[in-house]
Amino acid sequence: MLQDAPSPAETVLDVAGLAKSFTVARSWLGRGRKSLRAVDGVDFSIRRGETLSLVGESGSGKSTLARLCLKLIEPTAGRIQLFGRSIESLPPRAMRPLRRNLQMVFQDPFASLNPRLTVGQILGEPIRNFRIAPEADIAARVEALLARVGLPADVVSRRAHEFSGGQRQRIGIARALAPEPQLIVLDEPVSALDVSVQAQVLNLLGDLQAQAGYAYLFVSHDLAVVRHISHRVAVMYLGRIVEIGPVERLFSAPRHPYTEALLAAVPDPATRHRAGTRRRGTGLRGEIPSPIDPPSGCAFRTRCPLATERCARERPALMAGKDGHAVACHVRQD
Amino acid sequence: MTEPLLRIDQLRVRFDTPEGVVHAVNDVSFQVGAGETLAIVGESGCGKSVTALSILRLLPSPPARLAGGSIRFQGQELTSLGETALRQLRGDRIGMVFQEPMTSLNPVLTIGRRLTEGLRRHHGLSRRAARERVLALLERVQIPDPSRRLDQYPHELSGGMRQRVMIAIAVACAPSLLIADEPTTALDVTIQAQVLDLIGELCEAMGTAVILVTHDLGVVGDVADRVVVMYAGRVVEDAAVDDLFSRPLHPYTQGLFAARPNLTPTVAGQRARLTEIPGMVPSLRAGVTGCAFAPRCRAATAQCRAQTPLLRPFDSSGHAVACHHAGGDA
Repeated sequence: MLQDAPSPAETVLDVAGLAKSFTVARSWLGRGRKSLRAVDGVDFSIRRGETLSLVGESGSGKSTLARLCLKLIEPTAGRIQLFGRSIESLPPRAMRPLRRNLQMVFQDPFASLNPRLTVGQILGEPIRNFRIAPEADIAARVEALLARVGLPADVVSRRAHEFSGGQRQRIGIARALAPEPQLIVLDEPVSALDVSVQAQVLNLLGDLQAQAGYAYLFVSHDLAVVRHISHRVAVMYLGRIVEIGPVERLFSAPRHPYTEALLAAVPDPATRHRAGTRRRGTGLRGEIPSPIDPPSGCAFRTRCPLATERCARERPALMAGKDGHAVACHVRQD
Repeated sequence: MTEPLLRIDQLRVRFDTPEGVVHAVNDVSFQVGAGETLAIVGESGCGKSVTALSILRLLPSPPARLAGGSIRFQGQELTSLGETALRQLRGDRIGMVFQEPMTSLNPVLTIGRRLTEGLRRHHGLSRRAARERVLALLERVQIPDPSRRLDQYPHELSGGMRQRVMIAIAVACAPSLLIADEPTTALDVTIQAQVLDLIGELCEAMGTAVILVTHDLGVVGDVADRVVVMYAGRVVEDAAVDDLFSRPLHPYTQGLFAARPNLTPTVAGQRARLTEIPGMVPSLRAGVTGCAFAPRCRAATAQCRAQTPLLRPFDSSGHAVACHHAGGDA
């Protein structure tokens, strides 16, 4: 976390025009099926040693996008390249050896660890499955993994329920590291943790990235955490990226009205204390519309204070500006 | 000094579990003045929700057991009050809003039915009169298209809408005190801001005092007048919000501020490591000897491990702290 984004280096993941639709039944009789565009044409790339965060409200499509990148679900359209190789249409069998490069850490460390397995079994399994090390070396590997995430070696024989939330998340991270991946998708990895433990896990993630150069795709609704951990940030709204850019620029000079509203909504002790007054009524009106029936033109226009007639007619494209800061807004990109 | 709206003294709550007695709340004392917003802040298991739920005796008993102390509301002792009298208070003079509006709304009752219940019970209104009052209430909590909502069930509403309905129920009888237990934790930040604004506006208009239970210091800074910080079932600090933010005295409070990533980093352009609070919250199974925070505290001494520090006034502004070494003195 201490160093800035790496210079143009190896691109680990590159996605273009990525989309995912789900078919939803409108009535319980199953007639009149409509489709829901959870992810609707998304482009981005992540480099080695870089953290790209996805932020947005519930229903913005950020978790679906994360799962698409791992091919946990199949895209409806678009391209996913891992080290320059297209993987979007690879069958599961061909995908399997590549999976060791793509790992995931889940939000809920209580639900994502098998309660029947010991820590040693949880961490040994991926090493064995991906043939990372010969059987004789697995115990030593597991011990090394535990040391990397700050757990004592004697926990190998214990089961997940014996640990606190923070320790379980360390086990979840160790499991993701086991096959020596290149990209780790972290879906709200600290949301279930208390502040004091959250700091421990965020520091650990930063240290691991500094040591091994992992690329992180970090999904979070907590903008303070995102500001802390990211190199770049993509803001999503109804399945599309509305703004993407380097973290400092996006937070200090947000361009999309939605990004501005998100930032204004965060209760921040630092800003409050400086202002000394209570901020009220500066937030967004209304809620995120249904993705089954999204607004025409710019999806954000129904809640946007700047919306014009053009916003209802024409969908704004994500236009790259300087310094890799891009925004999809008719009003703000002119 | 006049009697505050709510005065909690030396409250003790125990949970009798098969694995032993959990000392969930230990000698907790604080007051809430009329119209004041008090935040109770702390991490999981610190006893903040248990304290708040104890006020209206909403904890399942067993396992929960009131083991001592007093809760006085408008001069009336609640700990010895009968169940019938307590039910008269709930939803009338004291309203409640919970974290998860889906589980606290009955899924088989329409919003209209659920909302009119309290008014008909406490105020003896007719069905029609209650429905009209409820429509006005839903408008007050800024629910669009309120007459249609009355015939809907909870699952047909978004999380933010459900929390608005809970707030409408809680303030239907213009209570003197609203207890809100993590009311926005399950909501997106934009909706959280709307809901906090709404609670603030309504309570200000009615002169209602609020006890807000939260783990989020950001929320505390936005809405509270005064803050009680809890750790391991005890109050470790009690202060006006500005005093707490400008000069946190307890090492745990200081740790909470330092551990939290900020939206506006203090050093521009540089992301430092977060300051960790080492270790974790102690088990409350066994009674804790000495200061419960001592094992995680940099400044801990032999005295801290032997003797439990009591909450004592630190200065004349009403800033109180439970630490042997607060402010540098011994």
